[in-house]
Amino acid sequence: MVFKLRLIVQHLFFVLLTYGGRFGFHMGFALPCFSCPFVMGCGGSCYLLSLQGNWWGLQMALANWGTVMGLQALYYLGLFVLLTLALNKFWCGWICPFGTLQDWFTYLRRRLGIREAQLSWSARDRLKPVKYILLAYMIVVPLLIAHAGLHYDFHLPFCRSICPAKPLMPLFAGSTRHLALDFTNTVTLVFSILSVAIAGGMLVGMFFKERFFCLFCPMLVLIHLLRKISPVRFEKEVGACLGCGNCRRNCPMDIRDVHEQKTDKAVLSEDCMLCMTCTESCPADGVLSVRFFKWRLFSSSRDYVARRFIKPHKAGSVKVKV
Amino acid sequence: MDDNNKRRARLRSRVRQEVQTEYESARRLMEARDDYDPVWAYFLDLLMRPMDRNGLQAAVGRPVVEHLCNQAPYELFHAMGVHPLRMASGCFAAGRLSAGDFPVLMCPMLKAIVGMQRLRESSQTAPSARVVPTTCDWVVQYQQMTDADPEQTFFMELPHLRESERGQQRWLEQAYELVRFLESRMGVKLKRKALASSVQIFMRAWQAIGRLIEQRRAGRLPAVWFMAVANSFMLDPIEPWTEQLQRVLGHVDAHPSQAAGKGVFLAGSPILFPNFKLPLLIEAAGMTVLGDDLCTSERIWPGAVCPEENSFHGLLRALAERYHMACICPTFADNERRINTILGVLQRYPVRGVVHHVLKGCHPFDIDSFRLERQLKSAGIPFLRIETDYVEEDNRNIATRLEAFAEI
Amino acid sequence: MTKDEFVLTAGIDLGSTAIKVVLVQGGRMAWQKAVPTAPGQAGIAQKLIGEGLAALGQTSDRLTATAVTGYGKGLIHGAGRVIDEVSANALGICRLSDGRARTVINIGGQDVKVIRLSATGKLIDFKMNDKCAAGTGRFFEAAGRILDTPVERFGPMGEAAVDPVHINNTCAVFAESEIVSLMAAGVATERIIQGLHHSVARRVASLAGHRDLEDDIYLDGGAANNRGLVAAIEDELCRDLHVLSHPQFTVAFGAASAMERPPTY
Ligand code: SF4
Ligand code: SF4
Ligand code: SF4
Repeated sequence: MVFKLRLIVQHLFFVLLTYGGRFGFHMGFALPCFSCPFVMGCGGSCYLLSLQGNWWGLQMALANWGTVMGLQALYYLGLFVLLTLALNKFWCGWICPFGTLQDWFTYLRRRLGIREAQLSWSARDRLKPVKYILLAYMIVVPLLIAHAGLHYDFHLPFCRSICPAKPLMPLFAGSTRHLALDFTNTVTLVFSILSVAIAGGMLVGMFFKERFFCLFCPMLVLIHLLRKISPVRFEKEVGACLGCGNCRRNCPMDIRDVHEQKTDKAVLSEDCMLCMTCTESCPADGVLSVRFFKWRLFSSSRDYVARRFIKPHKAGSVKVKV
Repeated sequence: MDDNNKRRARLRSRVRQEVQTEYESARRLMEARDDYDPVWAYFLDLLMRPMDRNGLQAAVGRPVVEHLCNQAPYELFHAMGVHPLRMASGCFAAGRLSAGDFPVLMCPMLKAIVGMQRLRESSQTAPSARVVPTTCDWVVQYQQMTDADPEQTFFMELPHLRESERGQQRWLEQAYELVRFLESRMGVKLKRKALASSVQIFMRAWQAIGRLIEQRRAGRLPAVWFMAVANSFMLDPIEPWTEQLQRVLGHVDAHPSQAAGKGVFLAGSPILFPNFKLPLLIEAAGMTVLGDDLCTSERIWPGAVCPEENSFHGLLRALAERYHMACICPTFADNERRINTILGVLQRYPVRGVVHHVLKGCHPFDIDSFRLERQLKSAGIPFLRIETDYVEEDNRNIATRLEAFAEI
Repeated sequence: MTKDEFVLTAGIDLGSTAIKVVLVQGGRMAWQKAVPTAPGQAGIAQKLIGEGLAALGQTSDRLTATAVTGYGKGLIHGAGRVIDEVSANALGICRLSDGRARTVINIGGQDVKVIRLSATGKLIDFKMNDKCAAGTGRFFEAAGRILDTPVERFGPMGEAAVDPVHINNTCAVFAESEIVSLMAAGVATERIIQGLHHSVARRVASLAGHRDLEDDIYLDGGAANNRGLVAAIEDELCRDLHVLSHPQFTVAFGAASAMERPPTY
């Protein structure tokens, strides 16, 4: 079953990326997922840190064009692009530790029998631009620091003032440090207040709404930008879709595009994290499929739906009439 | 007044006789087929049940709640300890009891339904409640036509738009309303657990019917037998029915019939026992129906119930959407995906054309058939519209057309 | 003389109002005859074939094969080929028009068909009225009885009418009362007849649907001999119609042709 495999992979990576460093495992500084470098002994670092960082960031590459430092910045960018191309949104649905954390909250909510908060279609659509604004924020501020004399206190603006992973993920390494307010000056204070407040809000959000933070994640935008040249394909045979809506209802991200798509076969939409939940619940044979180059990784079928959604028959539960 | 009653009783007993004859001769026709096997007897027995409501009630051992159309989730009724019975009939003779009171061009199925109802009035147990999803115009008028007790009748207001947020929300509300209605009428409370297990039970039936559909696609099962099985759905408790269906699967695997002639897809208005004239005529014209989108046949089970969460709300939402969104009934306004079911079958199986059944007076399918015709013909797929009702006098005309269609 | 010209086949069309038999020799209609449908159709057809053979000076052993079509085709056993009347019509008109026909309209005793065919006579698509006999041969018979005019005279009489009346109904039952009231109002029979032709023509036109008709439309069936009706249909379709000689026998001829090799045009 795909969802079981996914659970295993997610947890494997959660452990590797959170604790890997303690055993000398490190996947580098350009990972396309929220593997937060503020976690002591983590097993890899989120590229967003590199992107904003004064030493490795884009602004560095621009300012020091041709020098070793500039090349280094480009190297991280290149690595990020390669990793993103290789797995595209699989990073979100299968690897990102912060995504996995959110799934735990959903699991908890379901166990408690609490109904998921439902966003209206228009609210859902209005949220879409937020992640672009966040992306712009984390690119523009370092540029201003480097070229327009903005004070260095504004460095790592996204990590320090927005990202909920920074205060929350270190908790798994036993550190509550990032929950504290930084009274150094107004900027640091405002940043740390924002950070903690957002983290608190996100905790509530991700409890009531599956993958709530993913709705705003700027990494998603970066990954999405590269989908066209990635070998990872999520496709729909539109002419055989029944319109049953299973894909839409089951999508953790409440994506409507897969259901609504009637002409184009590419259905890897902006917010999709390739969790394949939709494909697992699509009863139309071969309508949804996920491919890697020409290999088909998984595609929908009535048979699979039956296996996935029908619990094994308990013996003796059916009385046979003779 | 007394005379009047006597006359009415006399007409009723006459019609009852005719109905009996119609059902029995249809059954004999099935039994006389070369491919008849005792495994079918169970289903033929069930097909006779609509004539005898008391017997049916005794057989299912639960209070019967009648419903029209496929939109009201079977699982809900089952989970509440009642048995849903779809009011639908292919009986020509029964229509005689109602024909005089309604428009001539009324849907023959509704005529038959009302007729059957009147036939039962005097002697048999009335249903505990009726659920009427507001699909086509005839169905919407059902309560007025029968003077059914409004207290007993629940209209499920069916949004004719399914792909809109509003439509989906409203339909979900209707599902909740239906639960409340049944709870108050039957004096029971619907529990999450009961609903979850009911969903499982029906999914098992869905799985089994899926295999039967595969067998018919492969041309191993004549259309009339498939329809006999489909028509008998919910004429017995669901679990033994599923068991019997498993036996049929084994039987067809062991004794596949050879697909005779060209494969066609049968679309359009419902076809119901005892009126199997169209599938029989298609067969006689040398063609095999490999798939259909009739709401009395394959489309009793479109889509699949795949809840996102196993909470009460999650289950109910999955149910509501499976019944609403996966259905391609042309009473819906946004129904352009109807053709997909057909094309899906066309792509995978040796289907050479589409026969579209229009019951005279069934406006939604009549209207929709023209769009379908345009779409299919422009894709080079032969299409034949057969407009008819429950009478037999046009059989030769239909046969001529079907024979010619087989040559295209 | 090519080899084909030795081949002698028979086509039988057991229609709802007439039994039609043709003998085909060398790909051409060599003899044809129609009699009204009556019980014992198989016997009647056999007799007609005998008659035809005698007229051609042939013996029955020269007859290589018999094909049968029409409503009653199930009644004849042991025919070389049983073919449905729509396909037979398509094939027949294709051969008779040397492959030119793309559409043929057939007005038969009980039905009206609009058939589209390929250059080789293969059926592409067809439309046919349902069980109602409106606008078919039956309709003319009923009208003839009321007007006290034999149907054969409808053609010339209708053609002569300058100013046809408007008749709304093609339904035999309703048209009857309409005709009666027109007669009572003193309208000339010719005008009524041509009015009937136009009402039938409108029905044919709506069945045909103007959209996907190609030119080269042929009309056959017994009613094609009716010049008045032909003119009315041409009027309604806004297109010229071709009518070949012996239009009543196209279907029987097509059935017989079905047993031959397909020609190459
Ligand atoms: S979208 Fe969600 S899963 Fe993907 S990187 Fe962002 S937080 Fe992680
Ligand atoms: S669209 Fe499908 S794969 Fe993408 S997030 Fe939604 S359920 Fe997962
Ligand atoms: S689950 Fe599959 S069949 Fe259903 S709407 Fe989605 S893509 Fe279409």
